[in-house]
Amino acid sequence: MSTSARAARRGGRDWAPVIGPRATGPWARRGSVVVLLLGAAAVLVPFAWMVSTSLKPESEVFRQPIQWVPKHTRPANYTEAATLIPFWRYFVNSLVVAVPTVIGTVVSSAAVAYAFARMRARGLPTLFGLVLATIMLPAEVTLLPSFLLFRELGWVGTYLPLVVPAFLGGGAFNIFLLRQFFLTIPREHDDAARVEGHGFLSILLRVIVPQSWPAIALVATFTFVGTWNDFLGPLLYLSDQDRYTLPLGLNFFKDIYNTQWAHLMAASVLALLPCLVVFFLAQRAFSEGVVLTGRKG
Amino acid sequence: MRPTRRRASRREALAAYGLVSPWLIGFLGLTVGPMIASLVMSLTDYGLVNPEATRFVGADNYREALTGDPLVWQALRVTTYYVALSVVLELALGFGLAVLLNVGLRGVGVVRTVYYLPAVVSGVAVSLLWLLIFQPSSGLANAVLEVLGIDGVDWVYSTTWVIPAFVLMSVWGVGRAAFIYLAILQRIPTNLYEAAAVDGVGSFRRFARITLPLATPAIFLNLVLAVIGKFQIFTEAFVISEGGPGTSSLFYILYLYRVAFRYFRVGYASALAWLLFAVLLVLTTVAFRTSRHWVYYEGERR
Amino acid sequence: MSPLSRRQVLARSLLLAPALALPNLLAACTKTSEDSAGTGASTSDAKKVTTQILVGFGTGNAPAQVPAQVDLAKAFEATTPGSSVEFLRIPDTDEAQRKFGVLLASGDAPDVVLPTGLFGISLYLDQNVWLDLSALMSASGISLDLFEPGVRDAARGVNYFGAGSKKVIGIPAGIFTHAVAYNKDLFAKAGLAEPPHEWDTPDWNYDKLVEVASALTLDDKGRTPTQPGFDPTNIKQFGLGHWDTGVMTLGHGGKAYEPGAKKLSLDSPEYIAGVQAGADLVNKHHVLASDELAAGVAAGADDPQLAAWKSGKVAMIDMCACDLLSFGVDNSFQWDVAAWPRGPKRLISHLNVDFGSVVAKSKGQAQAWELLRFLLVNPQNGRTLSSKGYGAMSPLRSETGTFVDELKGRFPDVDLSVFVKALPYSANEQEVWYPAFTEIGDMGSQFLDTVKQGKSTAAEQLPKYQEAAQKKFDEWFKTHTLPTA
Repeated sequence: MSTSARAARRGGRDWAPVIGPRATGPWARRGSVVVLLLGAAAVLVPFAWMVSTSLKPESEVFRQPIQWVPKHTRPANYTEAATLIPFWRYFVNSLVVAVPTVIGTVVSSAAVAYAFARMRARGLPTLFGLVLATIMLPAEVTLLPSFLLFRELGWVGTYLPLVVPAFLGGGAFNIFLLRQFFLTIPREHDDAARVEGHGFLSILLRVIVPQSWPAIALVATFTFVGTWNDFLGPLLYLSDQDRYTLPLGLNFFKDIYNTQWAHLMAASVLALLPCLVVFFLAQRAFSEGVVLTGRKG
Repeated sequence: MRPTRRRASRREALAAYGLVSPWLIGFLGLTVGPMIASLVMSLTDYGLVNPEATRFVGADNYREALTGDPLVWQALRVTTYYVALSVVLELALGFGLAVLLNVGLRGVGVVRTVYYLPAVVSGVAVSLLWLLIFQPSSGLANAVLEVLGIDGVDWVYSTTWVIPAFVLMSVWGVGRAAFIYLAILQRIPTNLYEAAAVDGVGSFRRFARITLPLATPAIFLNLVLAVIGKFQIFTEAFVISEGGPGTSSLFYILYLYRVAFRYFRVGYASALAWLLFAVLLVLTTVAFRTSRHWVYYEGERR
Repeated sequence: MSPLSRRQVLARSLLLAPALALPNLLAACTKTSEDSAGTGASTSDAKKVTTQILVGFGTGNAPAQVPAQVDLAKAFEATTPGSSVEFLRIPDTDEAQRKFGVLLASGDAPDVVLPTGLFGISLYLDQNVWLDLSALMSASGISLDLFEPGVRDAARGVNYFGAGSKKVIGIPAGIFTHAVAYNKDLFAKAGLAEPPHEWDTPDWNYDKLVEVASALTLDDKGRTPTQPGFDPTNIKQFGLGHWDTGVMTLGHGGKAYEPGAKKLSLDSPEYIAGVQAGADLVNKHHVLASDELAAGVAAGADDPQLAAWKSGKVAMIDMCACDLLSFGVDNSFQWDVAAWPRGPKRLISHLNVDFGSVVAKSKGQAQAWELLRFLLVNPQNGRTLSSKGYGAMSPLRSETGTFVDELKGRFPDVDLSVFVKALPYSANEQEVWYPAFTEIGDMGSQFLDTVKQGKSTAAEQLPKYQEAAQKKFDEWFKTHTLPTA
């Protein structure tokens, strides 16, 4: 393995912090730490508020002055929230949409990215240029005709319009990201495998993918989070209440139950947990790794 | 030195196209096709509920959008205000945060994760949380202001403060941008800093002369994507304010959705979508043209 | 073919096959469960015709309302062999209206929408969504004369189809009149005469209303708005709470649209006077509690106006018959209802009217009509459905008085006849369709909010509203034409 690749795997000991131990005096360092911690606390405040509200009885939610620790905690909010709306059904529905979407996106975008990164064929660079161009396309230009297309196919009211597109390339940005990442993997590994008689697909699976877990984890995580929280898609395509995903279900909850905020927050906390779980699991895979460019802002 | 590849080039081409084919199908069927269809529809008065009565109207939808519909301009104003404020703040705070995170502090992983959390959660649940926080009389936001001795405001119920409220929500998620900037910062090779330190260059000048210029290409890319992304805000607006109070938070996509799914005017909505595309194209072009002045591309002489 | 490429193909298909199979599996699962949601004359059982009713355009989904609807549906199924009635219930009105549009767009619309308020009818009127029932009605020998006069024009969609039109786009299902509910204890404490129960009493007009409300509005020191030193930021009791300022605009003679006109009249002097009068109640006379002010006297509730009334801090409210079960129950004070005051140009109080309509694209129109006829035209069923199914008065002329009988037991001390006597003075002109109805309505708040808050005047804002709205109005005519009768 080359030195740069090894360094990349290690988390980049070759890189220098701008303000590092040698770079500035202890005051600047301490000041940075304080600011960082204050900021981190500020970021956590809304989450804490969410949990705090979720444990209050309804009558305490709007008490003034505000209270952080509820006088009477009410964990029953959680069990009740899960029954006031068909929470677990919506949960399962969200999974039914999210899991195939993540699989499709990862498989599809990895395959396509691999072709762009490793293969040569006429017209391929042009196609890649088109991929790049679509990154900048706002989704709304294709939104309405896609809706009409799915209507003609009879797919409106099902999960198909939400899941199938994931298998068709998995999104221009993911292709771009993975391709850039694949390019950093030295070709010597490919060649070594080819000498042993492996074909393209085999190389993808045996050589490229095992070295790409950080990027793949990134793609998988963001696809999961994006799909789990997707609102516009289900809003358009799911008309049967039994098929609602969590975001639709939560929005619904807000309107019909005279906004029982404590229960709503409890349901929201439950709804957010899978994203956090997935994130923490994937963190280990990609926080150490090299990410060449970032995600869309 | 790759004779095997040359010989197998046709096979390789087949394999390559084979692998790319799902994307190609998606591209043609879900991007190009709909784009053309949407362009055609924008020249008609296609109605969602009554498509049989569709008539060709030429550029009338565009004329209506630009001269006959004050809400289009309102939506553009509202959205531009939001984008400008949130992108600038995200840039400044995000980059600043990245610089701070780059300190070799123990446990920075935990801190980084905390900042990143808002990016992991999003959508309806989070919008509901912020709706709660922004309640004027009993919400967290005003309570915090009170502690600081400032009078509370009506946040999402006030025409002045509703957009700043959305911007605040966006700033809460600055960790995501910071993460990107951090990755950029971490790619700058050490030897440049060491050389500068040896030459006696102070840390601030090192930052201004080394870090910033080298980071500009990636900052630029992130900026462009951020603008494009933020122009499309929808879920938060739908859940929290529905365009109100009045039309002071009528974001463009929210208005587009309303035109298509409440007034059922799909033809007109398509024209609005293309209008947005045109606006974004103009902005992107302007950005690229002016980037020459501040983005440092490797291989250019400074 | 060399071994390499065969393996390639094999490997590729193995990899992609499960990925491709998944959506098919999903499609299979989702398709089968979807078939059971009937659409029109989908014959799920052999020979069974299903009619699907959408409930959610305003009311009808409260747990207390459901049993009557279900029982009557079952009765229909019993009398009509081979029929089946299904309810599609969407509790939130906005969601129901949105989803109805999507269902129409995807070809999956229900057969009947019942009940739908006039707003819901207007929302879809110019999209030819509603079936014209006039042919089916005359074939059954039924005419709109069976119903109260106040609902007939709305049932004919007169603004769209023209005054002479014979079309019928909805069968009246229930009506709710409005009266002024007042807190007797507060009136007694102030030594004031109670407002009159008879409609069209001389002297009971908007000016008198303000006078009475003023005497009943007290700040924290017990001062009324006309007394020196009155503190408008510290009002503890309001003369008016849950109120209808829109109908007061009509009372001033203000009307947004005159049928057949080519211009809206949002900037007419009457309209401006009417809107200003409503805003003045809050900002000038300080007698009306806006929602924010109501929240001030009744802390932390979801419905501040309801809470303010119930806490006895509001002297008079506009009470819809539909509010009897919310504003009228469990009050700790004595209360009664009175007539609405007369405005400068007319005496009018709002009329909420619900309809049952058939969707034009329904595949089972005949049975849908039979169902409507069974539920709404049959006097006994109509009365049961309107009172128990929706909490409404029956719109059938033969059943009008039954409202009092039905509710007398529940509200023994309240003069319910006021609601019935309101009928000649009740009209719904706020939800009636006009061109670009939804769009113009949606843009209202950006002009009217500042007037309501006292930051601007009607004279300033309404011309601007008129200009913007007129643009939309004119655009509508570019792509539509009003059908002739």
